[in-house]
Amino acid sequence: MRRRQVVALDGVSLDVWPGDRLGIVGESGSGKSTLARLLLALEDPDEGEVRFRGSPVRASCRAGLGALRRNVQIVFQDPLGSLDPRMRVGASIAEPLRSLGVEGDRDQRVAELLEAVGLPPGAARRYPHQLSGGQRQRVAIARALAPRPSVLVADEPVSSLDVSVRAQVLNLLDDLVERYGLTLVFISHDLGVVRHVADRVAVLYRGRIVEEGPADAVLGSPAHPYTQALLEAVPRVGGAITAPPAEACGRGRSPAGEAAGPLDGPGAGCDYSWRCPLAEARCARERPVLRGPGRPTDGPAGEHKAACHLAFGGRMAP
Amino acid sequence: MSLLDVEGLCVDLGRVPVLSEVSFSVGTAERVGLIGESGSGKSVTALAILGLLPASMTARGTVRLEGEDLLAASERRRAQLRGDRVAMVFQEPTSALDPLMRVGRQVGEVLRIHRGASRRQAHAEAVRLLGRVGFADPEAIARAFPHQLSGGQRQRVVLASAVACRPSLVVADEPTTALDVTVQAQVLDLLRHLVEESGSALLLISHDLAVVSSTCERLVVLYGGRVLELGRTAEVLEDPRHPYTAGLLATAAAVSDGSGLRGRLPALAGSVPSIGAFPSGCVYRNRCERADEACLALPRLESGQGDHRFACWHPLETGRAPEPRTGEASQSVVQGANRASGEKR
Amino acid sequence: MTLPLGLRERARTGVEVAPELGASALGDMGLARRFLSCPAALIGGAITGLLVLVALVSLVWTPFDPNAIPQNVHLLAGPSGSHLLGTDALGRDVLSRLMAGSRVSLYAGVVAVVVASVVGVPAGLAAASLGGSASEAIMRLGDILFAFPALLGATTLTAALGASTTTAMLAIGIASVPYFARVARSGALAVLSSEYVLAARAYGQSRPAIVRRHVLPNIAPLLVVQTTLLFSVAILAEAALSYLGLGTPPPSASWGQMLESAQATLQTDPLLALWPALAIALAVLGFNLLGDGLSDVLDPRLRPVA
Repeated sequence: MRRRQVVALDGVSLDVWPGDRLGIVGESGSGKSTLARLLLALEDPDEGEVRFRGSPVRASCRAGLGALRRNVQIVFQDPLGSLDPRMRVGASIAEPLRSLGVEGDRDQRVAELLEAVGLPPGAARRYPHQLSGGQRQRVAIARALAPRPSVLVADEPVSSLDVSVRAQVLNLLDDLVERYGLTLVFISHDLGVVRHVADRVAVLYRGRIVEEGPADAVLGSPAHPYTQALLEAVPRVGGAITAPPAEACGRGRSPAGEAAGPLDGPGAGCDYSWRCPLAEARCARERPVLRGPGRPTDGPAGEHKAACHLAFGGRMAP
Repeated sequence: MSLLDVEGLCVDLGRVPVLSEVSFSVGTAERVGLIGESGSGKSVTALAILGLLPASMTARGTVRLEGEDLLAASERRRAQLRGDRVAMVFQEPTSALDPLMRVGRQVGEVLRIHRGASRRQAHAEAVRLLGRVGFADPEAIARAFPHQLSGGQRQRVVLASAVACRPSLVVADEPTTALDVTVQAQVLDLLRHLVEESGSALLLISHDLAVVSSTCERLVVLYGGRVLELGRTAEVLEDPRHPYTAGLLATAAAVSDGSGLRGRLPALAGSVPSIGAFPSGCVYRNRCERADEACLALPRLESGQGDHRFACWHPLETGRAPEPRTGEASQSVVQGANRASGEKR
Repeated sequence: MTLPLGLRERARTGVEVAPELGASALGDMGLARRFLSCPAALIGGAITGLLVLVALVSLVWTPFDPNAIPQNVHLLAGPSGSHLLGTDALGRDVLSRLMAGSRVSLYAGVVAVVVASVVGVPAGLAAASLGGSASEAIMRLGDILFAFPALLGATTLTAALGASTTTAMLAIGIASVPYFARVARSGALAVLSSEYVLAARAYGQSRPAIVRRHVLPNIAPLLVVQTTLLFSVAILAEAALSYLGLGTPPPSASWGQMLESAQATLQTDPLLALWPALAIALAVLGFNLLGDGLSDVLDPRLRPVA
């Protein structure tokens, strides 16, 4: 059997500072979930490294993982799948305390956590399938907060929930980040959702960061055409639909290669050029680097940057 | 006469009511949106219309498609109508396609069943349909297997087979919920064009008011198995009369629109009770800030302006914009509701 | 088999149910109530329960001594007031022997299940959680065992250890190891690929702890079902091996052996063969029904509606 090497992420560099609220946006296949697993050291990168508080961490080396496991926790998309169906809610929430050897009264801590996420104490005795989707996601959040982490990674935490419940869960996340002084990494395919919780936004496309910067700059005046398309695609109540260029309408791609999955290999030009309405000849030839409006290369940290030849004074509409 | 007339539709699961007296209609080539949260009974409504209810459920009332009562029709007759006069699009395109059948054959299958098309004719038509749903190389797609396509592409394939027989009604149950935002926009756009082209009516079912309102001409708001409000999209959006609709609207507008950047979102208080646990009288009263003794009695769908109707004893005044309820305000509502229902959010 | 349904799938089934905390009209039936409302489990449970009861009673009381050959009685007597099911060719009471035989059958099941699960389950779990070449090695070993005829194994073991119920069931247990290993492995693989295990890794749970706290409880229903099915296989196998003289040696009563001795007089006294045959059929049916019923009862994901 021939195995094809798939590259889920390519040359991604990201810094998350204490107190950050970083939003990572991308479609399925953009590599955002891989990024989450790398951040949690659940997988190892082929090249490069993940550093936590300055020291590199590897999934394959348990010794250096202690601090990371205690401090970085994750909430997944599907709360039904991320809770053990045969474990009562209270036991699920206490699991991290047990496995990380956290001292103290576990029952009391569980009660505290349930209260913090807005669930009644009685929820501890329930099984996940006895709760609604929103309630289950609250349980998953409570479990993530149990070992008092400093960083919370949320991978699509609201996309399996009804819109009406999304607002509740987003408000809750916002409250908890504020209350416990958490650093938040919020991953979603929906810019409309990310903007509610993030101060800083990075946009992933096919395993590369194509735009990054303060949320108000990236969302207010997106520099990359892909970010613009993402913003326009967010459905608005009573608004018309703005469909971005379709993945399926690309020119002459084979059905197998057409899946918006990981890329086949390193292409020469900009990955977005074949969908981009503004693409020029050089976009297909030359891969743009992530740069700020000022200098041609790397700008200061936190600056608004985009990987597009036409961004910041190129011939692109604002 | 409307194309689809649902009248007094009641569905019970054992003795537990799932739908109660649901009535609405869909005109020829009209696009109607059915909005509801999980547990509102919206999917059951779709299944009842198609005659696909599980054996554990019983339906009463009438569902008329082009004058023919589908609930009274034989299973054989309903099978004739499904795929031909009324087509269904499900949420999960992955499970809606047979993994072992080439895409072209799946799209052509419905033509072979209902139109007696030959294998060759069905294939030719399938390729044409695949071209219509936006595939650049429909021949190649027709030869592909579902797993070779992305989620958005699979949903396009499902749409192609749904409109193959030019049905008079397409029922789409959360067709974009499993998709990314960008792909969702493309699929909605396509869905709208397809039904326009084939002259079909559309019943679009979703929990997302933004999705439904951007596609449909009329809205039906379902909660607890009952219709709480219905009317033209513009009227309902500008002038929601039921507090539930107003709350949904405020939430959906804030979540999708994000008028500001960070900040509290208006949220509906409490959560949807499970089927059979809705309060008597007005089904929304345990979560409603306007509820009082009057709401212990069941409100009927009252007519407002034109065909804008709502079921509420204390409707919002007409012309009033939806109250911007912040999280803090809704907190207190939550506590009030908790005491009423013995349930915390 | 019942594995977590579509782990990352958000597909909803026809009915949406979002239970809130508190009373739900559909109710959340306890294990006992689910058991009682499942006819297969109920009937199977009743039959196996009766079997266990009879076996227990036979320990302290049987109408006559099942093994001793009495003097001055009618041989091959038909059913009568004192011998409800008659007597056999040696004049022993058939009912007493049937009762004593149930003990042998149950004992056979227990030995087979203990052998199969004690070896098979850890092997399957190891194969699932170690992965790579270790997993391959374990499963190929299972395949070899699987291909080895159980009867040949029983014959070999009997030659080495002498004929006894334990020897026969040791052979059946060993032959069933691959079944248990496969069930444990496929169940464990599904659980290990779930998000709750990923979450457990994220909060630093060690591999043994994940297997103990998440995998085992989640595959337990599969194993319970497998166990009841192996019971029925073991009862059949014990009967067959005893019939062939490879199992329970005379004079102790076993259903297979009763069949064997009834064969000689089958033409004249067919009833003598009917009783043990009925007992075997009923016991096997009981365990099979129980297994089927339990697989429905124990899996909350297969419950109607919710």
